[in-house]
Amino acid sequence: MNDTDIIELFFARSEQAITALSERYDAFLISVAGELLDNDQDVEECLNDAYFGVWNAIPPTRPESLRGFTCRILRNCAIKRFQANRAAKRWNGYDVALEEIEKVFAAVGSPEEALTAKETGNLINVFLSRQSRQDRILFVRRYYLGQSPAQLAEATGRTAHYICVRLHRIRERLRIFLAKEGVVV
Amino acid sequence: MKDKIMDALAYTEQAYIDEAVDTDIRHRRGWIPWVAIAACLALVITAVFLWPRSRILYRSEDVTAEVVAPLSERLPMQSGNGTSIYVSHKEEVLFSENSVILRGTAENVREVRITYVRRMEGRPEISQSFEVFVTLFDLRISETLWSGGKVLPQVVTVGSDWSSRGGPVISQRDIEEGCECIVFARESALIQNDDWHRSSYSDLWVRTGMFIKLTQEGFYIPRSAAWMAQKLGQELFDQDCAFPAEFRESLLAMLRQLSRKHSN
Repeated sequence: MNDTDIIELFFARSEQAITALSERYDAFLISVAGELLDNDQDVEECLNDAYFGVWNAIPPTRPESLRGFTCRILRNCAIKRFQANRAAKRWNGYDVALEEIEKVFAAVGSPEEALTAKETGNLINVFLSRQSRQDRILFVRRYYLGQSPAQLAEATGRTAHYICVRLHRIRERLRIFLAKEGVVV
Repeated sequence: MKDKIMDALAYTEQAYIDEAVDTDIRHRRGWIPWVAIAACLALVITAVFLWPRSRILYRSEDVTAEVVAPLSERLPMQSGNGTSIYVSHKEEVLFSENSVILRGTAENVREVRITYVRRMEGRPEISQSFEVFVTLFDLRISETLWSGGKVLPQVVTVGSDWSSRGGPVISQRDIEEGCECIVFARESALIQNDDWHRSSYSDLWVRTGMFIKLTQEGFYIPRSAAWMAQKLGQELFDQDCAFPAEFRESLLAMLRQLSRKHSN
């Protein structure tokens, strides 16, 4: 069953839509949630929350990419749980990714010019729009989905070192971009 | 700050997320390296096959004429007695494309090597080779050298010093020492009368012909190509020539071809 068929099932309010979505993207979504959460139980709960979120969102939304759409909802769920875990001093791999990009934001701007999360997000979108497709994908996979350099290396067929160097250059460009915009978070 | 960054990342456009999760980012070499490899191969093939072939001016079973090195205009060549031969190519000349005799133009004035390899029957490992060096250049040939039945080719070019002995002496010493010459020249390149030494320098000397220096035996071929063939066949090749019969036949065949062409 392809994405269009599954979306039609959602529109028809058929519970089979959840089953079909799960069959199609379960493994992928588990891996995405697994990057943000170490606990299998957390992952499972996030997944259920995400399916429920998709059920609520479709309709009226008709996503262009069901995988991307579900991934976004799952990530939002996972981030909430991730923040709760951090508050309880439970760290995981995504912290490393955040620390990488945190240095970029810490290096620019002044506190008086602090932007809201939405404004910062919009700036990141502008930055991403100016990057090559490959760099944009690497950035999103690393800092949005939390994939490790080793995973990205496996996905691209490159070495982890190559990925780290490339991510470093992307961050450096982001730092310059944010400095020009006078941003501090 | 991490929380704020996470929140900011939550505003990442859906299109970028879709792109990230839906795109296969496996690195592929693409077509550019393959095109580069193909181009290199083409260059190698060209270098190995086409370029050497372009140097081959004539090839038969026994004789191969190939370009050894282009000669620049007015490149001095030292003969045995020190007289210089200057290469020049002010006229087009003469010979058929598939014969050992060449068409002399500004482009193909160059040194040519003709190699003959004879292999002994039953002893293929033993071979005997003869090399003939050919240079297209301006020449002047004294017809009087034919008098008395003695074949004594002499060649001079524009700019060379005239010998005090009253004639061109470019290969004289070689000839005297037994190293004879063969000269192919078109009719117009020949001096038409015995008064050549009194004729105008420029009228008579700016001529193009072909000079072949043989290591063992030589011939002088004046006038027409038909005459060349006849002379070669009847007088020179029939003599006790040092060349192997196969080589003589090959050369003669080429001259006959030239003769037919000129007769037509």
